[in-house]
Amino acid sequence: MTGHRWLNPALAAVVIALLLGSLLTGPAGVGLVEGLNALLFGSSAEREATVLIMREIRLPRALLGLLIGAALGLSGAALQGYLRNPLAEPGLIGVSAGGTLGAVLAIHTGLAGLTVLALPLSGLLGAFLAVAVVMGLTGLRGGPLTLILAGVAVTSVCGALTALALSLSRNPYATTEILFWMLGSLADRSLLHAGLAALLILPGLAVLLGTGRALEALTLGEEAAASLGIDLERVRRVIVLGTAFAVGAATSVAGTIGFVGLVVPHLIRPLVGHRPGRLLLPSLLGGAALVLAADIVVRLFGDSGELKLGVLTSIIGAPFFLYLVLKARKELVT
Amino acid sequence: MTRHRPTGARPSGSASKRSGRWPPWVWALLAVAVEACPVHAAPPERVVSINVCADQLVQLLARSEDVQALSFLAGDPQMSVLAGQSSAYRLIRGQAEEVLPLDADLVIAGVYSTPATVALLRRLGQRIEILPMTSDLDGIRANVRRVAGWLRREASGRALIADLDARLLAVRPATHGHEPTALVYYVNSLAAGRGTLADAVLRAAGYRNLAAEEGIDGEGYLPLERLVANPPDLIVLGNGLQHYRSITADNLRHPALRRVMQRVPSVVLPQALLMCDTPLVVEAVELLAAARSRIGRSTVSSTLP
Repeated sequence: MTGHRWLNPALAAVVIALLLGSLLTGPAGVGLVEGLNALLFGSSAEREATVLIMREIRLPRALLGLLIGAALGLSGAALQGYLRNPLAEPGLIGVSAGGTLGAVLAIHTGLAGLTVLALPLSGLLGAFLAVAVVMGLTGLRGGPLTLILAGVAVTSVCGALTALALSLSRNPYATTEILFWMLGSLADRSLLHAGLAALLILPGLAVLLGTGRALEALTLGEEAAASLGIDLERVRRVIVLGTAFAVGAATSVAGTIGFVGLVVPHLIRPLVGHRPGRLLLPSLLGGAALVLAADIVVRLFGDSGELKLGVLTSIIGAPFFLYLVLKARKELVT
Repeated sequence: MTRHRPTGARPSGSASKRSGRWPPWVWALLAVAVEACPVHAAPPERVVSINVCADQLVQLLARSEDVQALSFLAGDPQMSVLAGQSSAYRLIRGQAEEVLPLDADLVIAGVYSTPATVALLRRLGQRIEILPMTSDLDGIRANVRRVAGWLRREASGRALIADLDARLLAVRPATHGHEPTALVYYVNSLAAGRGTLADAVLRAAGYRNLAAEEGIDGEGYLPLERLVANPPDLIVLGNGLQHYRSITADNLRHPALRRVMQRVPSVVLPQALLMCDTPLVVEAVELLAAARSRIGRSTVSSTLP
């Protein structure tokens, strides 16, 4: 319990600092005071274009970094807690793959041309359908293991269908498109995207934050938790649906951003005394901080075409993953 | 006199490989010499093209009864300017198996045609010529002469070049020195910089290429922010959104770009116009030259709403 009191305020301060950093990073080179003036008061000593850059380009980007990072971090923590499996991450239950498939199908049927929102909405629909199939496969009595297996199956089916749709398309930019969905990016999203994401991510976050007590009880085992009055089936539904809302919305506007949901809970866990209930809020903040930071770095090295966000999070994430494996092995040996 | 006729055994592709050792002007001279010689070899009558740019040059230069097949992209209005006139031709995917039964006496491929297909056709004794890629108007003229030479339709080639030059001259700006700037912006936030066909088209239409001045070489990434911070006098959208729907096209739908375009005049160029280095790019030049009159008029209010 030591150190727990300062953890959330400290993380919140980091997130706010990174949010400001995100607003002030970009190829256009806007000064600190000028940028904030333009953002808050819509006035700029220099140019009217600065207002447009701050409000229409950088604000949605910073907000999306915050929301998507929070969604990934929190749902990762909740899933790892529920499945009691350190390898669980939001993509595992088919949300990301389903979202991608929905969006890609919308593009290739022409549905996406109707309105700007058609694309993220069909991504969301794909995420929900994938999760519905996973829940259906898991059934009423299925436990964590069935959920994982169903998730893996749905993820690979969705991935294969996405690849099929893209290779059948005559779109000359299909490769770029695949890159976007596989690696994720926050470049040039608009306030419309941010608004849609917020509308779905926020309820998802709220629902997931409410599962703390159930997750704590689950550390005693399923039977003990049930005897404490925890409705296991309800917990599973809440966690899966909350993840579908939060991560489905994130995927449909920014593609698949890997490793955040996996790594952040592991980083935070030692700081909260390995208690899954207390892990939730710090993971939300930590996820937001990681995605905001990665998105700043992506822009700093963005001279010759922006690095995709998912590349960076994976480059940070993969070595950390190896470290986890090594540590787990050592603990088994000793 | 058949020694002048390139045969399947001596494909020009190997010449381009050797050109590394020989200065380019040697090949240019050689090409001129070959063209100048009186050649009485029979013109090819069973022509096959497996490259979308070669398709269009063949459509412009060859008699349609001499054409066996074009590539399937020749029928795609997003890829070929002449797609509307492709129904008279057989369209193929361009694989060796499809080409062989056509018994072609001339197969034209592009630099990026599958090397395996080209090598296989060549090994099977087909006469195959590779159309080089260019990105300027001189290169376009050279390509017209080259294809006209292969087809033995030199007169059509000369007429086509004369037409191109006349149309370019007609839209050339009267004054020099105060050219407006323009920027060609594609999906995925790419802009056409130095050394692109779009760059040559912009200059022929009387513009300075802002992307080139900002240091972009080839087709390079230009963040929307930089476009908003430093907009050109004319925004040229290189893809029409109604045909191209994708998340990578979101930069062209972005509200910030829309707002800039309320103030800065813009032109949508059909995607096919800048796809190929053929004389048909003159249509793009004319479109852009016509837009010069709109610059300055709609920029009266220099502040954004």
